[in-house]
Parts: sequence; C-alpha cells; structure tokens
Amino acid sequence: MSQYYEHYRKSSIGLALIDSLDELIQSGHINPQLAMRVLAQFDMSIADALSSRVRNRANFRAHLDNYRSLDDVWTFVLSNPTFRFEHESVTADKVKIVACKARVPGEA
Amino acid sequence: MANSTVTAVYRFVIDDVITNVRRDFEDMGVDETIMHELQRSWEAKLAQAKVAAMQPAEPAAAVESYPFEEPAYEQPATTSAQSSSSAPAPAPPAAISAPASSGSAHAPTLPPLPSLPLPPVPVAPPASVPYNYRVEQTPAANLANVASTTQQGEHGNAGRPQQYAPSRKNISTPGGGRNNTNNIPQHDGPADAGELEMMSRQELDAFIEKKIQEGEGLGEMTFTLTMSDRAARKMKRDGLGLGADGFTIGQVDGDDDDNNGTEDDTGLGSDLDDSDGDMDEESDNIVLCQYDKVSRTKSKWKCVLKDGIMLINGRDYLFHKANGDFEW
Repeated sequence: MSQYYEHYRKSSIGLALIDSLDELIQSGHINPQLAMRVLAQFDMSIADALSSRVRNRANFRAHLDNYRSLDDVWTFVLSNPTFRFEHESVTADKVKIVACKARVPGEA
Repeated sequence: MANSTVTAVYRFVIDDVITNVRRDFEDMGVDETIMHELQRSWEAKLAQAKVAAMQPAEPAAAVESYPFEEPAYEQPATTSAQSSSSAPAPAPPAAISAPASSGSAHAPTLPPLPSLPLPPVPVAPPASVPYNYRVEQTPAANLANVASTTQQGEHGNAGRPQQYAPSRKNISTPGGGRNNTNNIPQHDGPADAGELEMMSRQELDAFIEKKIQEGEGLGEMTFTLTMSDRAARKMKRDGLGLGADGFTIGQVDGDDDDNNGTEDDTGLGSDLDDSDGDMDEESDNIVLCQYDKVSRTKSKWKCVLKDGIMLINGRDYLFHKANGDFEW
C-alpha cells in the first residue's frame, strides 16, 4: 500500500480529529493504537478527498520571507500574500506554506 | 466561494474515515457507540472552529442518525472494563483504585530519589520530553497500551506531524515515545510518582467523575489535564516543589542539558528544533499542500501546488491547483 502524507493532520479538520481522539484516550474509551489507525485512515481519506473532490484553482502572490527545503518538504513563510480564487481574493499578513512533494501516480 | 465546497469535502472525509475505521474498532473490541461518539465529537469540534460553515448541517445530522449522546458514556463502562480492566471514568471505585494501584507500583522507586541517583540514561531527544511526561498522565490502562503500541512499531513516523502542533501532543505519545522506547518507564515512572503528581491525578479523577455524572462533554477534562501537566512542568523548571521527589528525576534530562551549558528553557531544543521554531512561529495562517514544481530565477520564485488546505484568517479554503509567485 502506498504511503500517505501525514501533514494534513495539522489542518483544522485533522486537529479536530486529534482532539476528539485525545479525549477518548484520556477517558479510557480507546487506546492510542486505535487512535493511530484512525489517523492513518484520515491521511488516506483527506488525500483522496483533496485530489478527487476539490476542483478549485488558486493563484497567489507574496513576498517570500523565508524558505526551506528539507527531505522533499518545502516550507515557505510569506508576507502580505494575496490569494485569488475564482470569485474572491483573500489577503493576510503572513502565511506559512508546508508543501510535500506531490506523489507521482504509480510511485509509492 | 471556495469555502462552500469545504463543508462538503469535510463531510466526505468524516464519513469516509468513520466508515473505514469501523473494522478497526471491531477488531479492537471497542464498542460502536464510541466510534459514533468520535464522529459526533469530531464534527462538533470542527463546527466550533468555525473554519467552514459546518454548523447548520452537523449537529442535526449527528443527532438524527446517531442518538447515542448519553449512552455513549455508559456503555463504554462495560466495554472498556472488559478490555482494559481499569476504566477510570465511569465507575467511581474503579477510578480511585486506578491511581492508587499505579501509585503503589511506583512507590518502591520513590525512596532512593532524594539522593538523586541519576542513571546513565541516554539523553532523550528533547522534543520528546513533554510526550513522555504526558504518557504518565493517561490512565494506567492506556499506559500499558502505549507500551504495546510502541513495541509493535506501526506507523513509524506517526509522531512527526504533531511536533508542529504543541497542543496536540497527547495523541502522539505512541509515536513520540517510540524514539526512546526504553526511556518511558525509566524517566517518567519515578518522576511522576511525586506527591504533586498523585494529587493532581486524584483531583483529575474526581473531576472526571463529576463531569461524567453531570453528563457533560469531556472537552474540559482534557483541558484541565493539559493545564495541570503544564503547571507541573513549569514548577519543575522553576525549581519549585523542591520536596517533591518526582522532580529530581524530572531533571535528569534537565541536568544533562545544564552540563552542556545550555539554559533550561532554551536547552530543550536542538539546532534543528530551533530552526523549526523560527519557521513555525511566523504565522497562524497555514497552507498544507503538495508541490509539483518549485523553481527560482534570481529572486523570483514560482511554485505549482496542489491538493491544498489553507487556513487563512480563521477560514479554511481548499484548492486543487495553485500557482504561487513570490519575490524574495
């Protein structure tokens, strides 16, 4: 079975899941092992959902404050980014981008 | 605009995860009501985060299809009692006996502590210290499970992502603990056997019972646990609670750092952690995605990103493809 990235766990939906699992562990209803299985499933589900169910395109411009490439993970810290979606644009002071290398289909 | 699809995608993810972990719950002998409780709690938290318009659909759907709110906490009493033998939450007697037994298990290691018999323990990776500390905070039953998880070694780098999310450490105990498998019992068992630890655990159990009896959610419980844990660590760092034996062991790691001439607060991190911190502290806005291409010409950067989740100004956005132009 191919590997799935785990960095989406840091998203809102991932953190919410982690919180919920955490509570169930703390209350003794599930063990950490089961929680890890759920998170592994989440890695798969979110990856599938993003690749197959999201069609939005975005463009953005920004000033690049800081960048790093480590183990095929790019991290960018941007200031004053402007994100343009099809029908709206969003600006922010700062944003951090964590990008894992896109998996080529067929490659593990 | 992009935000409207977020709800649909999140709903798909939640349903997909719940559908696919059903088997895992069965295999582990965990009651299905727990799984539904997980779903309910997950949706509630996501709605609470207000990153997407989840509120209207979520609570109604959850209640309709899974009317388990109250039973969810009672049924587990039997389930977890069968499987793990000590379920602290539901039954008051069990809750009291759980800390008591774990306390007596640690008790023998207490007396020698004041003389500070530092074992030549390999220095734990600094980032994992808080994880270990938290391992001890979980009920005794979970501790055993952590150990077994650790040995099995599944999901090898599972702990990694959580390093970036300080407040989620609890989940990563298996992953974090695996880095120094043998250290968990050594470091933390004795350390947490201090009076303060015992006190806080009993307080905690009392608090849990109260919450359960009142039928409230468990969210506040975790919060309290984290706070007391943090407070304990702060005391340790500040050198308070000198009489509490547990803290002397807790300084096994601290001592090593001191010997290296690093300050207590900053000494916890390696160079790698420091650079992570610099990058991490920058912003609450974050984009998690994959890249197809990153290229640079002089100070102009171009990148082609895909499959992204963005949290910008408290709202979530998703994209399939994104092109970025940066100037350095």
